[in-house]
Amino acid sequence: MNRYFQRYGKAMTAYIFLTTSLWLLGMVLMPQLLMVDYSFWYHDEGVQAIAMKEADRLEAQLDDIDAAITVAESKLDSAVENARPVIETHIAELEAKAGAMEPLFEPLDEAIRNPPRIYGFKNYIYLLTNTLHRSIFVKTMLFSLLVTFIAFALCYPVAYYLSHVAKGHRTGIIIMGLMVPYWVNEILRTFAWLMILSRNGLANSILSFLGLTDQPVDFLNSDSGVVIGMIYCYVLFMVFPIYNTLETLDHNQIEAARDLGASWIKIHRTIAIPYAKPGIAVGCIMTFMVAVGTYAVPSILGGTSTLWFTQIIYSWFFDGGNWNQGAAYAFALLVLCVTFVMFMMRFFKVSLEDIAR
Amino acid sequence: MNSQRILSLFCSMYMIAFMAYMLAPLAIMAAASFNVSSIPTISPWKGFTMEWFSILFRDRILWDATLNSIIIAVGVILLAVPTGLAGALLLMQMQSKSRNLLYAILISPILTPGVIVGISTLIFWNKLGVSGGLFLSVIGQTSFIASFCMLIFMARLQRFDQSLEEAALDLGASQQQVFFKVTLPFLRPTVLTAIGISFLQSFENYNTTLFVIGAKNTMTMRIAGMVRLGLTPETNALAVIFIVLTIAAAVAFELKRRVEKRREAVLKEMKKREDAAIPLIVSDSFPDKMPDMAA
Repeated sequence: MNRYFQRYGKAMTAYIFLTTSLWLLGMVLMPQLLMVDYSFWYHDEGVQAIAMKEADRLEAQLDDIDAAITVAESKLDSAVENARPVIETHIAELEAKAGAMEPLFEPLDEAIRNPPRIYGFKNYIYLLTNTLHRSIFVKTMLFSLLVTFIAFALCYPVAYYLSHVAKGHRTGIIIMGLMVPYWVNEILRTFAWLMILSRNGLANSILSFLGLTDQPVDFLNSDSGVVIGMIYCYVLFMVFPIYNTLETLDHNQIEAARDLGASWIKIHRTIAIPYAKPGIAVGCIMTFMVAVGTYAVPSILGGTSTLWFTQIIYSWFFDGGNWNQGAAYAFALLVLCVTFVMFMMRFFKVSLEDIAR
Repeated sequence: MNSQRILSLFCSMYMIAFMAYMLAPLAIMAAASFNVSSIPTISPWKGFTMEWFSILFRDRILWDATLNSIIIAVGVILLAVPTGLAGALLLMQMQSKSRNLLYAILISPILTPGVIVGISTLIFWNKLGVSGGLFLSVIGQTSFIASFCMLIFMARLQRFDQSLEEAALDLGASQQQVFFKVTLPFLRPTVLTAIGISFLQSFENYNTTLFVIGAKNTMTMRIAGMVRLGLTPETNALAVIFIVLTIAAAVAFELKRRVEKRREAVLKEMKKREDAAIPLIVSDSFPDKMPDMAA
């Protein structure tokens, strides 16, 4: 703390600490913790149901009393003079009874609107026992791994070419060319593939021109369309990190290995790939994370049979209205991502510092 | 050497194929915006038209949504850039073990899927009685865009010669003066980068915004709506505008990079000559001795 005062003075130190802690607590930690908290409780629907039933019963009683009052009032008009006080007291009695019932509704309303919370694993157990949701979770994970792997296979040669084969201006031009699809809106990139993959789109024209299919392939209602679109959208999250690390590899190392007779497979296996590990780890983490967490691509390219886990989470929040269940699903997704990040860091022996570079 | 040549030919072909894979979908999408056909396609080609652009410019809903996007982006820049800078300054001076933990937490929003950032923001602010809208979008996006800003500032600060600050302090400047006259000018280009990245990230964002935007609309949300329901080449016309702007930005970026590279080379050359001319004064080691002298 003293170091900060000496270096930045009082006002700056206050700004640094205040701003960072607001960010840390108000935007990162507390929202996440509250989400986790939400995922571990649910409203007691039993109590809610009982309260509703009880409220209905009281409501019916109240209706009966109201009806009795109406009957009595209609009698009052036609009644003879000396019968009137009797009827009037009767009405007063009924009104008092109805009035006495009013406060009974308050706790019931409260129980219906805001039923007691029960802490437990129910939301998670639901995810584990609902076979459809469970299978979508597993599918999302496996397809994201597939997308990550294909992206790596596609991108490694590109990153290597950019850093060690291409010369001078050509590197700049290619990178410029890659910047364009990288920065064009994700939705529009997906839309481009919606055009290509649709029933009478380019992909089907080519397939039928080559005589590979006799009727159009329905890419848009199958997972293949979603995976194809996702690879296109997220492939560049893999190129740039690998390129950034490979760029710092001294080209003389490769030259030396080649002069000493190493085959190109061996050069990549023993020099380039081990050197690029931090970049590969970052690329895989970023690609997996955007693939697993995407809502745009499956919602545009997929149909009802190709639901992605994020779409289920979304429907818990905005269609199902069960935020607790949605929070549990979101936390499950977060755990999956954290596990993947940890695994990649362990596997490639890189630290968090390398990741952020 | 013949196998070498085949390999390099294969390499070039692969690169051409890859670039075609990356750019052809965008080209197809752009071309369809000039087709008369009322569904976005390039085959069959029914004739050239600019009609879709004029429909696009008359689309009030879209431009209102764009205004919202800009408002959010400005809010994000105002919050995320100073926040990221504060985080970077805090971490750069920290040496204790807790530094790694704090660092991990502050970059965690980048490693969290956008939907989860949105959900946690929505739950937290809902508890405080604030529901989805422009404000929550700013907050939700800031939580991870600030992390990007922090990383950008940290990368720059790592190349900062701290003895400059020490020298200024020793020469009697107040801490405020040092920050505004030494540190901030050094960070100036980085501030601009951070603003640019924040704007793009905010403007493009879909996954986080989806959960916190409430009943409002942003440009990206609106495009998603247009793509899902009632698809017309108007969307393609918008894509053309996006692509043209991105190409312009990429070219500007590349030119700036080249100018900087050339300037660096010139500076290096000058320094080389200077060092050769006055070999006795080892100017680099001078600032290091300053603190000792002060002590």
